[in-house]
Amino acid sequence: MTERRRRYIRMYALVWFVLAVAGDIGLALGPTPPFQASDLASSQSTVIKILAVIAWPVFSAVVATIAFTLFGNRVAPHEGDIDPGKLRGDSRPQIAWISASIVIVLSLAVYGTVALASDQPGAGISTTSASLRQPASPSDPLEVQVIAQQWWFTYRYPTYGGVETPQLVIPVGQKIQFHVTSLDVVHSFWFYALGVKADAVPLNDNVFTVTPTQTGTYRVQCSELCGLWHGNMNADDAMVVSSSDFAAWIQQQQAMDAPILKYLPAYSHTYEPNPPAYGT
Amino acid sequence: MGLRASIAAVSIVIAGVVVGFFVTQYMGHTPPTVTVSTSANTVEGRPVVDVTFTTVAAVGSGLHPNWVAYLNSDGNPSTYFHVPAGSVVRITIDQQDGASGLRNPYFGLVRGTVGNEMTVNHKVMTSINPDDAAHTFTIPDLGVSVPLLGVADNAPAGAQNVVQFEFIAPPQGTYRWQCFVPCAAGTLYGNGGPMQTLGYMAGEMTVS
Amino acid sequence: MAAVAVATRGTAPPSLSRRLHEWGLALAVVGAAIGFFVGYALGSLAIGDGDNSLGSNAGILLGYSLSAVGFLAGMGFFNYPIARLLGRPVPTADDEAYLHGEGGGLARYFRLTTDHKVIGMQYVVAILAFLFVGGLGAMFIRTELLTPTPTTATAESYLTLVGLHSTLMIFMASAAIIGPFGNYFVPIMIGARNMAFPRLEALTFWLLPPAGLILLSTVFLGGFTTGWTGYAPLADQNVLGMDSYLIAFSLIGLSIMLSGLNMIVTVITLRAPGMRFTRLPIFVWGVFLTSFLGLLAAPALLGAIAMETFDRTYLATLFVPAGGGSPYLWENLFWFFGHPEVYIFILPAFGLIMEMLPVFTRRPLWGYRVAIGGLVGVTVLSFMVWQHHLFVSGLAPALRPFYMFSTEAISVPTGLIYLVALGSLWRARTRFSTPMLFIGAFLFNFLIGGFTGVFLSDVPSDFTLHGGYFVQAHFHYTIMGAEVFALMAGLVYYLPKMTGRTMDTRLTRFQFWAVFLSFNGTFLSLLSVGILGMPRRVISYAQYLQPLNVSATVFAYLLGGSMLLFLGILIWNVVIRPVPAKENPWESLGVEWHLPTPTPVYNFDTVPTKWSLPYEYDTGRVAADVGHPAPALGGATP
Repeated sequence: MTERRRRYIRMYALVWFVLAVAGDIGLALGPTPPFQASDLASSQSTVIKILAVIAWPVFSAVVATIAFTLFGNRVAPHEGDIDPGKLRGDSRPQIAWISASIVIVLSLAVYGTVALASDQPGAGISTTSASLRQPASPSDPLEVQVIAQQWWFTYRYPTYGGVETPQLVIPVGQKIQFHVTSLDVVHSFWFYALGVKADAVPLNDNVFTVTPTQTGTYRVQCSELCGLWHGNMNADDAMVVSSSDFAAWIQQQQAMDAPILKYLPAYSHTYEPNPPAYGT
Repeated sequence: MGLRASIAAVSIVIAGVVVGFFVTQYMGHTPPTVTVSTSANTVEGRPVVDVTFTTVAAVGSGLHPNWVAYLNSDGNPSTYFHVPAGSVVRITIDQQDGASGLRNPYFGLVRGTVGNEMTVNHKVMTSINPDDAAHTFTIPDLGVSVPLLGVADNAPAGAQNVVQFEFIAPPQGTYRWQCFVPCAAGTLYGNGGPMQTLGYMAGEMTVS
Repeated sequence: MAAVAVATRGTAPPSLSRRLHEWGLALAVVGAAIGFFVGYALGSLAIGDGDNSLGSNAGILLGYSLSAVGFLAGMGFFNYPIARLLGRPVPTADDEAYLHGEGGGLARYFRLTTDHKVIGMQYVVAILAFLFVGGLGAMFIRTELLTPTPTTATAESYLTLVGLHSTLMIFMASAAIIGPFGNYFVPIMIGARNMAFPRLEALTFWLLPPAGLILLSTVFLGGFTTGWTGYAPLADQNVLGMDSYLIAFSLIGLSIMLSGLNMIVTVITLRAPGMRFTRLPIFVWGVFLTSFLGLLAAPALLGAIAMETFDRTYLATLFVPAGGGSPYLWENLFWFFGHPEVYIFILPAFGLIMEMLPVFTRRPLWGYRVAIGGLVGVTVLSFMVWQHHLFVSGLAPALRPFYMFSTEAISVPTGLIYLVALGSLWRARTRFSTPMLFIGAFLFNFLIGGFTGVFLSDVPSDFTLHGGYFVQAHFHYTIMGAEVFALMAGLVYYLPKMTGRTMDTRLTRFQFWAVFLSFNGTFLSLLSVGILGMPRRVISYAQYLQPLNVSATVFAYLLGGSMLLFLGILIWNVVIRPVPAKENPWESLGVEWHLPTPTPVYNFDTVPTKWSLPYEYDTGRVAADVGHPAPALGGATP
């Protein structure tokens, strides 16, 4: 190995190391979307942060290698100490590369599964029966049904007499169980700040459990193309409020809904779209 | 620059202009606007503007004669109108279509209008039976939603329900509005055709 | 052989078959018109007419199907089978020679020609047309997204614009590498004189123009609001414009499937004596494996589209839950096609990049067998990952860990391809010719595409990134940043062979830096808006996302301009002011470069029987001896 090559490799390693460490420190310390407004959002931030911290050194290594082989490490084809047998392939780096990538992939998959299992959002079709009872204890989740229709989300609160509103308000610090369903086509309920995204599919009940940790006013939007007004199917008035504010708000909604309550269908996790196929 | 180059350049420019013109026309095409008349009286110092629609089961002419639509006073399908910010918008709808029922019964409730109420044939109402709704007039971003009572099946030809309500125009901007009854005769699975074509059952209110 | 054909043509009057082929394009237009009216009448008659009713759908669907059939009939695709059915004599050698385009000339590019090199050139033009019409759509989309509220477009036209841009680009990407370079060079590289099924090969190309025109006709039928994914039951609700999408997409699906079949049979049966599978150039491997994806995945799409047409005409309610169907049926069928489809885009590009790399590193491809292993691994795994598109759909959450694992596992074979690329580059004295710049950019862009894919494969992070601009930027990095860069690399590299003309080096280099920087500027901005919570396909977005969107739009204009510059250089240097190319300007050892330019009509006078891999730059051995005096190696690099 010539002195020049050794210098190149040392420089390459140094540049990569500085890049990798600086990038990782930045990624680890900087804020990571979707930030910290709920337990779910925090855990998603953590997952993204960990993936980014793992990915960045690998990414920068490949980029540095490309850059160095292209610009910094030119050697004439037969010059130097390169083994002609290695021109067509060399089993040691191949085995090392394959093993390393399998190990990384396996650990990512295991980590993802563990993170998924501990969050348990999106349980799919719910097995619990529809209920109108008050939560027995504050630790029980508050059920909030998200009804998507072309092109507005409405929300039903079964524990408060099945009252329905076009504005989402939920209490902070309490476990919320979103039940997402649709009355027509496929929508997707995206509460970005809480890290909730669940497709709304007719006759399907998509469950997402989340505990909001910060009060505030947030945006909810549809993230699955659902027709003409898909781009306008959003609202900036979704609120996470204190329990007392929530109690006051839900009372006010019950009063507003009084004229229509008798017409609303019994609370159910899914509703039959009507007309079923051919409009009249 | 030789002759060939000039021909190439000129034809590229011409093609570009033609394509650009066609696409701009296609993209920006909006239906005709509804005439808005300013009323003489004011409410609490706010000017009152009147917007009048007729809802029909079938337009009867034009590109889609079988589609339901909001019509302007000329009898053409139209859903675009301009109102001044802060004014009281008084909407009068001659509702001539039969009932077909709401997919979400919640929209049988009158919401977001002045007093959360409307008048149907001069009678004050705060909600209707969702099965009797023919259409709704809903501006989701303002929370304004008014169900339009359908005429009875056995009513004589030309029968109509006159629905009137008022709401306060918001700050400047463009607000989409639509109907929540999966209406439209002969549309697969409801909410097709006129519901997803601007100028029939979907439109925009521009506040200036 | 060509001389003989010309001589006979002079004496005998042209046969009927020849006359019909000569007028092919005109007859095709007539056939398409007749087909449309017959189909429309039949469809309306079968189900009953009415404004936007089931009958109108049936009319349009049947009209477009029959107009495609009429188009192909006019082109002359059915002349041979019909003549055989009627017991007419087999075509004369003269007719076959005419069909193969032996006489040369420009006219053979505008009719049914069975020469794979003519079809390759036809694909170049078609692919560029799709790319630039689709790109124009992207410019209008970005213009609209300068502001958070609608300005230049309405909600309705915007969605049609989005649908047209995406669907045209998917059509383009399905054949961007395999169409031009696969058709042109695979037979040459394996030592064949033509494809196994030359008429079928012509058919796969001539399905493209009707597909493109039928798709564009959607603007006259009310457009469609579903984007390229065509999710039902929204597709059930759509107006007649949806029928354009369905028929156009099924023509493309048919083209992908038949092209796959043809390539597989060609590579298996038509290899020259001595051309073993272990000596196939890596690009042929890429095309060969992609062909299995096309053959096996496209039928799922065709089935799903058939079901959707039943929904739209006979109210089959296959995708309508209230009628007993399920939206998940479409989602599964579509993505069962859709995920292998993205590997149909990228595998030939991998092959092409690895094919070109040794030419510029002047060393053998490092790890040829590893590269094949990587391609095979991607091919097999690509059928096992489609449900990662449904992570938030609420369908069968118990399956998520499996699909998360299989999706992450696909990065292992993809990593092998990077290993081969890095191994080939390592310590090489790389020649910085223009295609090499594009190869480097390909490796960089696809790397970003791959790493962003990891975030999407991991379920918890996918919950926030799914269905947003992060996904959009991710697949633009793989399709635009990788596949289209490979297309540009391939054009710069292969045009001297295909046309005998070359693109201006200095201008192309400038164009490279412009396109590379503006591409990354655009899509790094869009990755960021995705992480910050912007959903796809929206005309309105939150105010705080405006600065990043403006940055994306400005870079997108530069990107559009630099793509136009590429087209301009190409047309200028190849068509308007031809710049003759040197023979074998890159000094490749590939057999295609050692044939005369233009390549003879049947490629080889005598098919060589001794073959080696075309990467033996340490010994300088050409892949096969074709009897044509080889241009001297070792000259200056252009």
